[in-house]
Amino acid sequence: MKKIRVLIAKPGLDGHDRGAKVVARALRDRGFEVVYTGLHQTPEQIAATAVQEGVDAVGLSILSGSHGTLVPRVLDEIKERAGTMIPVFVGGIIPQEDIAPLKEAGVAEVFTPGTTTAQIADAISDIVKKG
Amino acid sequence: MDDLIAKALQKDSLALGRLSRILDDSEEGWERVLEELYPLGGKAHIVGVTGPPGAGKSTLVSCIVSEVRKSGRTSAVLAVDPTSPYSGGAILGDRIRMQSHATDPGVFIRSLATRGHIGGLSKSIRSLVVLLDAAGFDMIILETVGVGQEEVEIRGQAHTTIYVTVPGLGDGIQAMKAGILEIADIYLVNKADLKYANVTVKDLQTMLAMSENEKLWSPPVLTSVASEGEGVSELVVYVNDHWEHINKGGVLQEWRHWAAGQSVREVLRDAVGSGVGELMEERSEELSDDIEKVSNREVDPGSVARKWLSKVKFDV
Ligand SMILES: Nc1nc2c(ncn2[C@@H]2O[C@H](COP(=O)(O)OP(=O)(O)O)[C@@H](O)[C@H]2O)c(=O)[nH]1
Ligand SMILES: [Mg+2]
Repeated sequence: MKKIRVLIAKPGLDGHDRGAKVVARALRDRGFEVVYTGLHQTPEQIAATAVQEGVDAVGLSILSGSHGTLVPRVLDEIKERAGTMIPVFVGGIIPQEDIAPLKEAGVAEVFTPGTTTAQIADAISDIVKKG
Repeated sequence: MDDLIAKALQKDSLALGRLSRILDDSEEGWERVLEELYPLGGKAHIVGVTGPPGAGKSTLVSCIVSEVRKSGRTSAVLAVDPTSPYSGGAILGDRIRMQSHATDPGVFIRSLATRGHIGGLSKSIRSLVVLLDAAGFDMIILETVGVGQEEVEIRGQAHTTIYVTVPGLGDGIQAMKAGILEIADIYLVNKADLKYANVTVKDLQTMLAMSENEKLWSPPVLTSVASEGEGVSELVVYVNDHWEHINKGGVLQEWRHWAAGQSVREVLRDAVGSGVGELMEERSEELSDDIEKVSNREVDPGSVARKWLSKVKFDV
């Protein structure tokens, strides 16, 4: 069976990547290959990395509250560099009312602190398998 | 596919990313990609970086790339991390130290998982080197997993091998036992900001002196503080010197012949292995019957194997 490859990235300025690491480990334990790039990634870096690494999906971890500005920039960069859209997932502290606008902007799914890592893995693998 | 290949030859990172995936996953058409690309390569300087986990290999690779870019050359990196034997998944984290190069069009970085391959690299690494070499990158850097003794494989993949260690590991003696001294063209004591770096340097020098090297190249022992970028330009001078050295006097020709032999043998073995594996899976019931006969001592294992070998279809 084909391996699922995902990029887990932390855009923006917040300095905590514990959550991102927990998700990365959980995905590894589900058989995913997880490219992990660490803190403070710019939208350009994230998109360029996704393209070079040929990933099936990109997971963004955002705790700083700046998802409203960061996510659309990441989506635009990916669209531009990849030609098509690579599914993008967003996790972190995202207020309920911000979820619908993010999805409208093109985010495949939004995970909040209540989402289990198993649910995250399922959601990613469903969307990747759908193609 | 032709379009992808044409774009990859222009160092288009989208095409390189796609083709890397095709080669790494043996997706349909991967054989043709290699057929097309192989004749175009053979120009890149391939540099291997090996040594224990945490020694600073990824940090160092990033510094080497900066140095290479300063001189106007292009560079590609293949960084390997281990696959979990339990889940088959992997966390590929080498890039964390290399992200300053992420958007540089003269740099291409690809992370790879070992996927069960033993030897510190991945099975697909040869194919990816063919791709990046054909694409025209001047230097291709391979970072191994760094789990120790099997790392001899890097020898057959890289023209120049750097062995990175750190002070206080006491690995001088270990290294000699493991035959690591045969591996490298350059020895580097990284984290020279830590205590006892000079002891480690002396250890390595002593070991090297004992190894009665009759070769034309005598491996230097260097120091660096990769996290500060210190010692890297000196290192790169030696890396370039070694490349010049092997380009003279037929060393490279010899190396190429030897490495080509390694490649062909490996592909042959793999092909036979997977051909046999597929057959056993496809006709597992018939095989079970034969196994039952062996178990009842009606026939010996060798006879069964010979009968089955004649049925294997090899598609390489
Ligand atoms: N003190 C010190 N730390 C370093 C040096 N070079 C790298 N490191 C740190 O060592 C850790 C491991 O580095 P990494 O490049 O990931 O090692 P690798 O596992 O061999 O690839 C990181 O935290 C680096 O910042 C150095 O020269 N001195
Ligand atoms: Mg590393």
